[in-house]
Amino acid sequence: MQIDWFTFSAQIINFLILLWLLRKFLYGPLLNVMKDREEKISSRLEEARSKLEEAEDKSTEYQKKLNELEKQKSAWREEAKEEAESFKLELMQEARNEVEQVRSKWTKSVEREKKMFLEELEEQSFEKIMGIVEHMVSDLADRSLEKQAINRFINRIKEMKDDERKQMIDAVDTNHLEVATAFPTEEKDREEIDAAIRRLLDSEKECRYIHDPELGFGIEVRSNGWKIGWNMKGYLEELRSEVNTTFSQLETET
Amino acid sequence: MEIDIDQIIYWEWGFLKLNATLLFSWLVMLFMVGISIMITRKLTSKTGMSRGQALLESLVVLIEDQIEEATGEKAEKYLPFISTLFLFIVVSNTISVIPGFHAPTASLSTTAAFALCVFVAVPVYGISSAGLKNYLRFYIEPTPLMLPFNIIGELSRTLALAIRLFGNIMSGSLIVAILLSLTPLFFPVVMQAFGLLIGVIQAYVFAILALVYVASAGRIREQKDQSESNNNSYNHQTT
Repeated sequence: MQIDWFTFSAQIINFLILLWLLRKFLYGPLLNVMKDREEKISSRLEEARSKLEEAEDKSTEYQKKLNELEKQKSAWREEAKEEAESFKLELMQEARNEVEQVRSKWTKSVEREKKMFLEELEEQSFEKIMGIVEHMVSDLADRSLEKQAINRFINRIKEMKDDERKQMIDAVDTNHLEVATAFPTEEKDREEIDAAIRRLLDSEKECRYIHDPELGFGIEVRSNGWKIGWNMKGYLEELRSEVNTTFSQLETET
Repeated sequence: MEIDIDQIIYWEWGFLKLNATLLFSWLVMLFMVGISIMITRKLTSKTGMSRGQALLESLVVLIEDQIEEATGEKAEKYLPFISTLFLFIVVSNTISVIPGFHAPTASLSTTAAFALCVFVAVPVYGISSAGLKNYLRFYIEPTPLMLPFNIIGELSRTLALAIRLFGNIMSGSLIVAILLSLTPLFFPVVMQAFGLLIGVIQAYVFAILALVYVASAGRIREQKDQSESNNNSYNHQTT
């Protein structure tokens, strides 16, 4: 057993070559790859940690924001509540006003209606009363009352004052003298009336007699737009004009 | 029966010759480099790696761990040297189970060459880590009288390293050869398996011893630093 020096030196060279080759093909790439991986992992860990920190920061930030929002929200809610309260009051006031307006309008219209109704009632009742009076008078009118009316007429003519008489004489067209009665007259009555009118007018002319139920009750002398007489219709017209005047006065007052 | 594989010569031209040791060394080298290239060609730093890469990486990590355990230093510095020794010896020892193959490590020339490499590596690493002056000072410590003993120690351990590997591998082959002549069936198979185990263990022992020697040189500086810091603290206390 001995050392072969050529083999010995060749093996040293072989070993050095192998060392170089393995360094080049095995350790170098392998260690690099492992180092790379470690770096990658550590960089990822670092990244993860930084991200975690970032996330934590963000989380606290968001928490803060959330708290602020919560605070603001409650403030807003309070504000909204107040606003709603005031709005409610306003609305209620408005509604009240509206109701008031409607009520006043309604009241006015009711008032108007009432007034109109009353007016109509008054008018109608007046008409009715008039009708009743008229009816009553014509129902009651018999011979004696007619006689009485004629007498009253004759008396009136007789009691006529001078200036009144003169005025009448000037206005009357004696040719067209007309006596209207609400009832049919008898011959005797006509003579009396004629006599009274002749005395009054100092003329011999005869009057024309007509029967006019429109008068209601009474007697009237007409001529040339002028007339004199005594009848119920006249009184009633007078009463009506008086009532109308009173009503119009009342209306202007209200 | 040829024991010295240096004597199996396939080709010779004057001073140059190609014997079994060199041939099988080259085969082993070719195999190792081929495998390395094949695997490292498709290396990836991502998670989905090939099986070969996983195997190589775990092997490298294992060696690194061993180195760090033995030296207490970063493995990077020693890794190429120690792992090349280990891998070459392991592959050499294991190919001997293939009939017709001879382990290059069964040659005293090879083991001596490796031992010399370690012998040279010790001062190289020592000087690179501690500096020339500090490294040389180590030989005359504790007194210059120790210089011859230190040198003898250095030489003898290198020699022992070479002889140990050679003896073990050669004896393994030898035992198989002897047993083969005695009991041709079955028993040599067991001895082959045993030889495989011994081959791996010897590779480990060789690598670890080389590492310890190399690392011991690297530790000189540390010891010095430590003793200096101890002295300083002592001085501080006394003052």
